[in-house]
Amino acid sequence: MRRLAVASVALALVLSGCALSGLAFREDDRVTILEPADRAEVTLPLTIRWSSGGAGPYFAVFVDREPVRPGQSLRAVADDSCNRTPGCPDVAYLRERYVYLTDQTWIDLDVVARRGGSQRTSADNRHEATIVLVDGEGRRIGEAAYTVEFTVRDEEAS
Amino acid sequence: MNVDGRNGDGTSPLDDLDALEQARETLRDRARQVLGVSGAGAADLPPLAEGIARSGVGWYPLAALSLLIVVDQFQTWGFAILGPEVSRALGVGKGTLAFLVLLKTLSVMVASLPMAAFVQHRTRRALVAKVTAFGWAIATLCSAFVINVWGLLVVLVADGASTGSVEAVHRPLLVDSYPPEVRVRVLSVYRAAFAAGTVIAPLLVGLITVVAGFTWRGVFVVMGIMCIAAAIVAVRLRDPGFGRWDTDRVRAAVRDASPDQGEELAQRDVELGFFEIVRRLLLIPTIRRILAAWAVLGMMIFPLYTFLFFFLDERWNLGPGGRSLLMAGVWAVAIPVLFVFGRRGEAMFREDPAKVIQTATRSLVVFVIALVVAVTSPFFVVMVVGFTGVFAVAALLQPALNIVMLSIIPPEMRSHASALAGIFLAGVGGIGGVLLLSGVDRRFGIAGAIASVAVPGLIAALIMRTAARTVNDDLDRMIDEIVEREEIQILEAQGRHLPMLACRRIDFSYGQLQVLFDVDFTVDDGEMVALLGTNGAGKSTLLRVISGLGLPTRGSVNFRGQDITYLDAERRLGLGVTQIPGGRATFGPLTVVENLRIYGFSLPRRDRDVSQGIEATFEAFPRLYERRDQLASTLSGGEQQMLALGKAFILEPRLLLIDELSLGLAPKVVSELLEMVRRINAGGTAVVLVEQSVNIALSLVDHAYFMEKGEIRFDGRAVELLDRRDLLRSVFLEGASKGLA
Repeated sequence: MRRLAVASVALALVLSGCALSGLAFREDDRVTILEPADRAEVTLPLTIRWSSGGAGPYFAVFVDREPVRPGQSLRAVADDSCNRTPGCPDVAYLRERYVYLTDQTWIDLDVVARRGGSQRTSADNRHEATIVLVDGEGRRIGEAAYTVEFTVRDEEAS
Repeated sequence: MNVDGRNGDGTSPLDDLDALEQARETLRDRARQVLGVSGAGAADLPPLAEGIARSGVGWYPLAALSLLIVVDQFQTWGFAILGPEVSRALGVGKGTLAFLVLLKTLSVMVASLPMAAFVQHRTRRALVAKVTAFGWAIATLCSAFVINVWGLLVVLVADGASTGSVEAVHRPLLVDSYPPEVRVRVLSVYRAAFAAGTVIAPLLVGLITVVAGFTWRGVFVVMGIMCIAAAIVAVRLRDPGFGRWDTDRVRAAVRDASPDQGEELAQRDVELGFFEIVRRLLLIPTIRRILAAWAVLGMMIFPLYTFLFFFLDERWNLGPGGRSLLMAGVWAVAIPVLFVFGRRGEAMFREDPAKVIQTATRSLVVFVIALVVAVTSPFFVVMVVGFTGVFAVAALLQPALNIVMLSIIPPEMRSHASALAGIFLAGVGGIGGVLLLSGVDRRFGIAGAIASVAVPGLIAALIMRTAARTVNDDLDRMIDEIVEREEIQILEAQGRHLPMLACRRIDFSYGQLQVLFDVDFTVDDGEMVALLGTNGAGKSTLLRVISGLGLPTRGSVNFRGQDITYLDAERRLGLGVTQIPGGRATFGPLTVVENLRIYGFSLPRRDRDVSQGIEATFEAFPRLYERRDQLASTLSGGEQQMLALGKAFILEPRLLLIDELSLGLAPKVVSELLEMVRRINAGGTAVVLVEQSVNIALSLVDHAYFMEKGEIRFDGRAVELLDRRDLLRSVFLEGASKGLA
């Protein structure tokens, strides 16, 4: 009986945690990041530019944070008080949280978050931007994510 | 046997045991040869192919298990390399993913011991290897279809739990499949397969993603299918049985030495349970040291993997592709190193197993030097060469320590030892090391963290050095156990009489303090024996060893022809060994009747039997009946000893061990108690009476032992002990001898 219960729980987890459709098995190369080059050393302000290849209509760029889950709205980034406020989150609110929503194929990055504590290492200047596709309601489309890593020269982070 | 305890041919049971002693040295030499420790070194070392052909099972078990160890790593490498992609695709934080991977590591460890318990005494290791191979194959395939954190949890934990079999059954299967003369090479080939997996898996990931253009999901689909194919290839694995090439051959050698062996021998050994086996393993000095070394090595190796990737990223700006290629390259070098070590290690093991450990110890020093060079070098090539040396040495530690560990223990315990090694390496060492080095990283940076693993490296080398000193003793101990068990069975089959209880060469320590030294002690059926000696001589400790409250560090305890050395005390109770400990052996807060009933709970006795036992106790000690509802703590000292003796009426043991019955009691009470002991003995129960009072003891028994400083100084007729004033002087002495005279 106990075995059956354990097996049932495991099966339920598998069924709730797995799917057979809507999964991406081949690389989605509709978006190509043009600049900066991967692992490049840059100065701020920085422009991140990409080619869309018909993807879109919107792009969300997450800097130094994981993107929302596929199908999830960008509202997941906002806190409760914002979500109770009409019109929030807006583009400005998201930018403050290093999420850039755009229908263009570039963004300007003025600041990046300062990482590390008082004892900073070279790794603390390393940053990562991840571009995902979103629809008109701000929901992430598909699993495709495009990432570029760059290092900001010291003393330039906010 | 005659009434005086002698065999039909006039020899005594002790003569039989002495005869065993004389033959032991010869048998031990033969047994060492049988176990592959011939002292011949590389001379006459058969080629691996010849040794494998001689095994009769061919290459298949080695090939199948090697294939499984290759694909076993696929999911691990998939998540290690593609973790960022998985994280971004699912929107799962890196910290969450790292935590789930840690859960997978924990599940490997947690699963390995139950698997060892599942296969103990049963030849189903191959079945476990096959089922779990399909388990991790499906988990790897399902990894391609996860959509959230729950899915990740299930596939990672399922993979971890099923790969626990690699620790628990793979190496024991290999060691039991092949003869001792090729085992080091077999384990080295298996380890080389692991190294090959470490090369293949990252390359495969790169090939599938970069060349074929698949996402991480595609990678897991391909890897899952390959795992299933490997599991299908391994489906013909069969369990070779326990000790076919070692203990069985040693037993055969013993039987050859005793041609007149009577009927077919029955396997009457008392099988140890899971915890008894684990406890028994931890009593073996070399095993303890090797497990400690694994824990320290785990502190060194596991964080090294973690921090190395960050080091290569930060210090050398290597991306995922570069890091994977570098890891594949350094592990590729480990493969030929393992093949060279296989043959040389085999020769070393044949010559002296300690040499294998000494070589591993020296290699560890090379590891530390290479690591420091690799971390501090400003040149890329030197760094690569340094890490190549590091991983080559790390690779050969596994077969070196495993062959020693698995060769000095009985075959039935190999799964347990192997699982324990995995737990000490990954659990104790791995997790401890990551926690420790995280602090070092914050203080000294990534290079400092990697360089600091040199410290556990040197500690492990020191521990392994001490293991080299004990390994030969432990090998001989295992041989002695097999030889003695077999000899006893032969004597029994021949109809020769053996004592009911035979303790042979017992050593016992409380921590570092050894209190028993090479103690031989026998008790015959229905005999009453006195065990005398000074305070602190080790009398009570010997009783604890017999009853199972203490386990010896060396020697054996045989009871009615069965080896009970490492059996739990409660199981010995079931066999008929009962001890009445010294002091107040009662439960003070319980009444007399409750105390007696509690004794009954020790065995699955029916209520009616317990009630009859209680009645018999009250008949023997009417005073207890009068106080039946009184708390035991309110009884006098003599009454409490009466109550303790009631145990004998309820449990009806074959062997009753009584510790200091008369201590602090009035002579009248003592004589009442002794009368009862006589009655218990007259009923057929053998009694061992530990006494400080010589006159009391010798008035009861014919056979006495005298202990001093943990050694048996006298074993003979009680009246003869009275003539040994050199012994008695230190005790109780003149008064006692006068009293008896």
